[in-house]
Amino acid sequence: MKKLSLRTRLTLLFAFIFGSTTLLFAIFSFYKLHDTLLSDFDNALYNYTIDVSQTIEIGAKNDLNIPPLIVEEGKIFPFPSGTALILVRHISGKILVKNGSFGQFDPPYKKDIEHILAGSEASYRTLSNISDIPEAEAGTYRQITFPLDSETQPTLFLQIAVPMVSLENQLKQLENILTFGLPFVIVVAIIAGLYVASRALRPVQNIISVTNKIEARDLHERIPIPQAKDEIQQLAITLNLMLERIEKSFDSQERFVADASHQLLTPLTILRGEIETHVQDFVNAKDSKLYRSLLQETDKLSKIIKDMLLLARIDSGQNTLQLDDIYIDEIVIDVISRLQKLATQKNIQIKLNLFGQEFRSAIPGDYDLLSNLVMNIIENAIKYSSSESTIETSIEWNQTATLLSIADNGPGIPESMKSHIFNRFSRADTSSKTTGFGLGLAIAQKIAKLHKTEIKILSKPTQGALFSIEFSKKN
Amino acid sequence: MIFLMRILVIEDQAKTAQFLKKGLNEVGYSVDIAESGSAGESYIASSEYDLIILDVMLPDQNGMDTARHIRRDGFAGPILMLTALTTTKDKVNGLDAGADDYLTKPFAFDELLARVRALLRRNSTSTTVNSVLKYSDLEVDLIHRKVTRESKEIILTAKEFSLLEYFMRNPERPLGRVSIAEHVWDIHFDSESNVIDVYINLLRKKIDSPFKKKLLQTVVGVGYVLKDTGHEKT
Repeated sequence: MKKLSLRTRLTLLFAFIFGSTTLLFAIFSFYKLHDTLLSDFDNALYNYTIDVSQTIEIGAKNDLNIPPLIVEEGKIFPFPSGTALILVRHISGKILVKNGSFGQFDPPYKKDIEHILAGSEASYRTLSNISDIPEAEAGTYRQITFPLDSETQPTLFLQIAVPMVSLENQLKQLENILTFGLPFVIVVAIIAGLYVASRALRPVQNIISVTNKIEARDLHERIPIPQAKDEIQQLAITLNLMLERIEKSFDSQERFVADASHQLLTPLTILRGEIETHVQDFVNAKDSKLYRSLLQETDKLSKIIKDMLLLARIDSGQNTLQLDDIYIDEIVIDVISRLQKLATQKNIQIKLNLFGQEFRSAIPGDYDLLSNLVMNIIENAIKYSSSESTIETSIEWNQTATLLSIADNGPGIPESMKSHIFNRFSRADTSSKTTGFGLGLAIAQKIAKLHKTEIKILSKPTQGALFSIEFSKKN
Repeated sequence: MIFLMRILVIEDQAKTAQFLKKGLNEVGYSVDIAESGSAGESYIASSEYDLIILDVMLPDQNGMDTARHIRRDGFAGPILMLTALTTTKDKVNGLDAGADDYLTKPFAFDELLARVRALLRRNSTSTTVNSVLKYSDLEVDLIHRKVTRESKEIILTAKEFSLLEYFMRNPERPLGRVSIAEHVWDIHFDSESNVIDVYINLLRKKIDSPFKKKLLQTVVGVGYVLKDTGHEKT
């Protein structure tokens, strides 16, 4: 039940209550009608029996004479009297005389006689084992047993069995109505239930779709408050209060990043600028070496600060994404051209190949963040590759995705490092020969996760590292 | 140099302003310093400047607003914006506010000088250079970055536009893959890479495929050429 929507659950509940009430009512009516019809039938049978009994002449020595059965005109019975089975039985059970095609049929009598001796006017029973009766006209027969000679001390009993044709027909009709009508009623109940449930839930549905549309860039928007003072209004008010809190914390996060950027980077700018403008004043080789080293460290420091601020920005999640249609190849080419200088310093060549251009398509992504991701991986590859080697990058498009791979010929990533290479401040080479503080790959992976994908590493200790990342066309 | 180029630095950080002034003076620019946005505006109102270096974080107002005010007051020269904020959104906001270029802190002083030179050069030549390139029935508007052929506008991405611009600047001259890569992307691809061919294909799809006359031709063994051969290929 928990997996079904509220609308479906309400509908099912509605259909169940409505359906079972109708069903109970139908069963009750069916039996009530059945009883009424049967008692009418019995009354008619009783009248007929009285008529028949009056035509039977009882002789002095109990010899009986049943006249041919002719129904008096003007009397209508709910059964065809021409096929009635009539017999007169002695209290001992012996059949004295009978009329009609009984065949193998021997009407039961013991209980009926006991019943009459106990004081009943007549005794009725329904016969359903009619296979013994030749040319039976109906599925069931109704049999009456009636005292013939005396009401108080009867010795002769008249038994008449007639086919229940009309009663059967009537009940059959009712049954048909119920078997076809009930499912129809339940279907109507389900449709009505769905309608009522959707109508009742429409305001909730509205709130859901409005809330879904509110993204990071329009956090100032609010859900319209409905007029009616009901639970829906309370829900809207509660959601609006929550949106306000989210907006505030989002704003303060953005403000923090902006303030921190300014506060931390301004002194560094001054530091760098002053060193740079003074460096020419010192002709002295020792001093100029010192200043160059200071410049390098300032650059490293500002890179770390920028990385950490970027991490702070992407840590706040999906909301910070500025989604656009992005062509990964354009980002990769841009990044390669920016890293060209760094690569040439180590005589490293960066190759790029594109495959499946007929499927080239844009992916939804954040240009800055994706550039940063590609930049971090390629920068990392340059850092760990030996001089005079090549870094091979490729982009492959297919119907559903864009696959970017970056392979280097560096030392590769040992199996033991693979699991935490994407953790903050970790790096494969534990010696301090290579610079960097291991934020790059952590940032790259974080950006990948924000784009609902993942950077995968395939690396063998001797053949270098292969980073691959697959972007699906739709987020 | 017959007259000194005059630069106004609007920057509240005295130290930053000082090293900017010192560095710019050394290469021969005359520099004035304004310590707030409003001070900067009055400096501009009272004398002529060739370029303005504007910090985004100012004590009295946001640098974006200052840029807008300066433009509103009629300053037509280049504005170089300095900021600690690095996202594309921030850069776009700055450029939209009226800045011509954007430099993020901390910056290498050489880069600042290069950008200042580029901005001043662009400013002095922009009126004389033809901003619309034409070849055959193809037109490229460099300022509005609009491409039209047979008076139909063609939408290109930034990279495709740069590629086409390079061909338009060198019509009927066969261009090799290496020189295309270096001029268009400032990048050196090895000869095996198919990047250039892929981009040529993408560009052909947009500027040639919908039209009868094909302009971008392959030159076997060399590269590509933009050439109107006169006859229509099918």
